[in-house]
Amino acid sequence: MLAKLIVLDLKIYGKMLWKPLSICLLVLIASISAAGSSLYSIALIAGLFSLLVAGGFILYVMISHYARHFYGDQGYLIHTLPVTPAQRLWAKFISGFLLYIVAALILLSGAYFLMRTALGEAYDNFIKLGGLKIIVNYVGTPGLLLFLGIILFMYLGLFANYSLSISLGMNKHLQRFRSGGIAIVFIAIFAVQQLVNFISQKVPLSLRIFLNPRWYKMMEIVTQAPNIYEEPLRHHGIPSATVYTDIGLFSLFYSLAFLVISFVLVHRELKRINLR
Amino acid sequence: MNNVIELNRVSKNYGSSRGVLDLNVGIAEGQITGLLGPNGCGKTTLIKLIMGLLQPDTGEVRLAGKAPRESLHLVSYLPEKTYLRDSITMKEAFDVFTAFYVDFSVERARHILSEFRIEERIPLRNMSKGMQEKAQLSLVMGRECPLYILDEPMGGVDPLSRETILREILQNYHPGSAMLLSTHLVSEVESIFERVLFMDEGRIIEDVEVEKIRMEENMSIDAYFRKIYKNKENRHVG
Repeated sequence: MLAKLIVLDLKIYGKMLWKPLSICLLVLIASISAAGSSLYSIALIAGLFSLLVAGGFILYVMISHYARHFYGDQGYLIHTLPVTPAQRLWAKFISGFLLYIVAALILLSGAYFLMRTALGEAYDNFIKLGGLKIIVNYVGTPGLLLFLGIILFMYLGLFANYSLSISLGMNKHLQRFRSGGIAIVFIAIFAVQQLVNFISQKVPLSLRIFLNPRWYKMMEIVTQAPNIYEEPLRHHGIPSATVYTDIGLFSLFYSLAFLVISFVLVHRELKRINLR
Repeated sequence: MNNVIELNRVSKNYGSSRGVLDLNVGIAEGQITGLLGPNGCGKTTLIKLIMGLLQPDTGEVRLAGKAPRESLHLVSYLPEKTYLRDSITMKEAFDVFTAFYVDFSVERARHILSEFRIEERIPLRNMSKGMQEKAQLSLVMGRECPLYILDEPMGGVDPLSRETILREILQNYHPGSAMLLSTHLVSEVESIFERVLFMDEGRIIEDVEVEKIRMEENMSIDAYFRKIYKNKENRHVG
């Protein structure tokens, strides 16, 4: 049943997205074609704009579909299908993730082709000199895994935020405010996150992630407040090019706890649905 | 006969406006029950509680002896709202029902749809309100299950279409199944009921066998309905 729900969601995404995405793709292709010409700047702006619109539209479809399916009139069908609340939630999570991956691929590849054409000779020289190879070698497999991890974590955060905002905002206590209820929850979540981030900046406990783990180690816990830094750590015998970024552990633990709590609360709301 | 639906002391309050109050009712297997009452009397709230779309503040709802969400596969439900997205065609809707309900017969649903003279490939957004209701009814009656719950199936259609809808409900209703049909259009559907529940202000004010009304009161259900609510109005005025 989970697979059937995912297929149902994907079909709806496809139906909602194919027209606007086709238009964005056409604009993007036209922009890429024109990026090497004298219309360079207009093409670049048009191309980036089409990517922005495509990304925004995908995000809108993902969120509005969640709200309509669970709390709009379509909820009368979805909540009476013979599936469990957990399956309903997982289906939205997985189908949303697949859509997010599609969005990421469209945005990244679109931006890549656009920049490649726009840079023209400079890009060709960069490749000839082995620039891409240097970057790949520098970052390495752990760096790539880290990048993918960040992409996944971003989706987890996005899903947790909008699913919790909508589900709590439409529960029996707040649904009389309609979309105002969703806004109240969203603002509350945002305010708490900002507060946690602020506190986290003051707490001297961080997870330090190195961009080039082969030169040192991938990550370590340090008793310092979070920082983004490039500094010569000569006393450790590390080359000066070492770049690291810190994540406040307080903030990280809060984020992980938020993901779990969000899932539990949303699941509880779906089990105790109140469609008015 | 066993009860396929049971409500024990169920209340639901919507804050300022009333929902339903202290409902105790059982719907037996194989019985066609009418849920009658004026608009806003609590019929839809009662049905939503049975379907698990609303949670009771107090009391307990059992569907085939279990919590509503555990027995949803046994119920074919027609809500008063259009629950399909407006871009969907009936062909796609049939695919959805085929995927989720083992008791759904595409042939039967297609037949009902053709009786309603609705094309399978038209998106819902291009249909009138009445056509949308009929289209949804073809999905609901396309299933062969122990319980049908129909909430105002003729709410937004013309009198001629009501006859067609009623005929299709009766022809496709699986004998032996129970049906709970809510309506405020009593005269059009009264011929199919075996039992009626009259609701007002969130309460069931009468629960009677149709035969009893016809034999003892010598009245049609419509006349009985008018008598009950007129008496109630008079009491309010008095």
